[in-house]
Amino acid sequence: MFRLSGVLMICFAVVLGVMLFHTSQSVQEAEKKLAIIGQNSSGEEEALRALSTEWDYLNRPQRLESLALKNLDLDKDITTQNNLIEDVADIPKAVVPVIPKVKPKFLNHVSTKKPEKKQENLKPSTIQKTEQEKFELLLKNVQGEAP
Amino acid sequence: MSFFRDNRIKLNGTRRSSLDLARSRLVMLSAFFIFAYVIVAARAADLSIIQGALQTNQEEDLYEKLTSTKQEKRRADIVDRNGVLLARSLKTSSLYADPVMVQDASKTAKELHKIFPDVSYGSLLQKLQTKKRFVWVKRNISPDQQAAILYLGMPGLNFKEEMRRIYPQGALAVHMVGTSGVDGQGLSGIEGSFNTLLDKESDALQLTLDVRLQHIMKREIAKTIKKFKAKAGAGLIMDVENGEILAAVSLPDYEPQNYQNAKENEKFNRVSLGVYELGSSFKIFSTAAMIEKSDGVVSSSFDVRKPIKIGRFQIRDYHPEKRIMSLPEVFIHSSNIGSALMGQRIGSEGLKDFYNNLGLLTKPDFEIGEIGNPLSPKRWTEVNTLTASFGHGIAVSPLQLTRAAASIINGGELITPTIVKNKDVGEKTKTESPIRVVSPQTSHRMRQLLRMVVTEGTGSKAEVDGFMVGGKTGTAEKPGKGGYNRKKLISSFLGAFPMDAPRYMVFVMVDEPQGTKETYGYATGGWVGAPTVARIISSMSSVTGIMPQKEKEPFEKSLKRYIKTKEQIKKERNIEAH
Repeated sequence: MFRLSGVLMICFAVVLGVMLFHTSQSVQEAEKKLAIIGQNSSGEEEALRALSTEWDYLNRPQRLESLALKNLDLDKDITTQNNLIEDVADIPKAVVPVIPKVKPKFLNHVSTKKPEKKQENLKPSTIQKTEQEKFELLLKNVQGEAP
Repeated sequence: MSFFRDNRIKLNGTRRSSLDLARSRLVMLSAFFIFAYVIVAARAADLSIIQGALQTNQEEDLYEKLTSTKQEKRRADIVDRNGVLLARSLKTSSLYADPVMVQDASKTAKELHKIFPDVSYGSLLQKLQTKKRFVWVKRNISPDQQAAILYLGMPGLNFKEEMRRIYPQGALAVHMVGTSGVDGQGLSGIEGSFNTLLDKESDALQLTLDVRLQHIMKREIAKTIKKFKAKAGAGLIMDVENGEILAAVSLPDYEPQNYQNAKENEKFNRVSLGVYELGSSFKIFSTAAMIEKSDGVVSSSFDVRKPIKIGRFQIRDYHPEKRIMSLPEVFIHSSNIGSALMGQRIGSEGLKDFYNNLGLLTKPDFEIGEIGNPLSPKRWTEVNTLTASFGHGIAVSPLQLTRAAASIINGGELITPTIVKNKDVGEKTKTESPIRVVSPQTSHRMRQLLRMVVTEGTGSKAEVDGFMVGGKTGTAEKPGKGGYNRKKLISSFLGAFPMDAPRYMVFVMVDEPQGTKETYGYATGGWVGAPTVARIISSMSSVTGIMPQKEKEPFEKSLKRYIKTKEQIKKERNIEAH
């Protein structure tokens, strides 16, 4: 008869073989998925490259200029005598918006504090109870037991 | 087991044990073979059923594509100083045919001709009737054309993906960016000189050009060419501090996609390859050399009453003033006689060395391949010194001229013209210590003189309110058969602004302009180049962010005492007459 160890060895080898096969199959599947994802991503990348090229094509200075001349009132020469600056110090400084330190009152009505009183929960059971009561009252009416 | 029972043989001892051993070996061997067959069967099932499903469902080449992890190599982008695309490689499809597989060549050719009207029916039919297995029908076709061919569903037509070089800005900077062939190899400009690098690198190559300034310059030069019915034009904008070129235009130009059909005249790069006798612009250098020689003193005077005769040559002025002029007067009235006298005082060796230091006599170091060799006399005689002082007998490219002038006005340090912004990418990385060509005092005087040319001299049309423009006109007769042709001019203007602290140098050159009614028939640098430069500077301000500013007092004030007023000149002449 076979020795038990021999049988075990064969079983072990078969199990290992099956596991190996399974692993190799999963790896191949994963590789295919990866390749498809890679393919999709490179396709997207190519589309992005084409789109950004188109963007730069549509933003050619020549085209923008002709569009601006056609649709905007921007063809005036900026170097008219009126807007010359005599000194760099004359250039007005950019206006920085002032944020008041104290909040205006109308902003204070929303409190961020935790409410002291807990809001009552409207439990489903309460709804059910009133519904039940109504129903019972209705039954009583129907049965002529109403007061 | 049964074998032993049937024979009724009983063995004991050593024989029995060896028989057991043999039997167990036999079992192990058969188990091994069974196992091996199971593996083979499993593998066969895997290949035929599991993996086969994918291959039968999809095209073979798609499967190969999916499983291959090879990354496609693409040529690096070229962008301007703000990252705007100048050149990029995009994937496109190319159509090829397998003529053996084509069933009806004439019908296929007819259908293809409908899709590609630019390819003749005859050439298509010829291609489809060859006995080869591969023939290009049309390369780099559009997605619409590809869809139309797929819709035909004709056998023997296949596509191959290729990289195509796209130039979104078109002809705008074609002479600098360059062009590339169908196979992506660089042919000219940066594409040509950085060919290997662009193929190797994945990062974009950034140039110093600014497409907005490039457009402004092209627009204005084109206007001038049209107005003066000129043959050609060129121009560039250079940062005087570091030699960066912000715009470089050579007209006429061509679409980079249409390189093969472009004419030689269009392909010619007038900015760096063309060398010209640029005339009076050279007085900047002779005057600078004179001031440098006399340690910043500008009070020297020159007798320009009579033309200079040397041998069979005669040097005359266009608008003879016929009096004794101071150095600033010689410069602002652009007197050839005065400049020649300056050259005489500097001496042949001195002037030649000075020009050489400014890089006017040697081929400049620049990143593109189209570089012209300057023309200068092989044997430098005294006549050459006199003519070279006012820009004749010496031919340089606009690039060289602008570089030399920028080096004089920037404080006196020689700059190297450059068009590549991210130098660390390229192989041309250099760290040079600054070379001084003139002293800061001379530089300051030259800035004042250049400003004076615009406020009081020949370049008045270059003035733009608030930008303190300075510059020098240049009008040169083109050499022809038997001497210079008076009707064929090269008119130019070399301007810079703001002159109290110059930032940019703007050069414009127009080839053979014809005078108009508006210009009273004149086609000189002052009438042609100066207004063009003024328009460019005016438009540039919004791009460069330089604010127009009122001059508190004239920048050139300290030189004004060397300029005689009309009354003073009249008085002097009266005295002379008596």
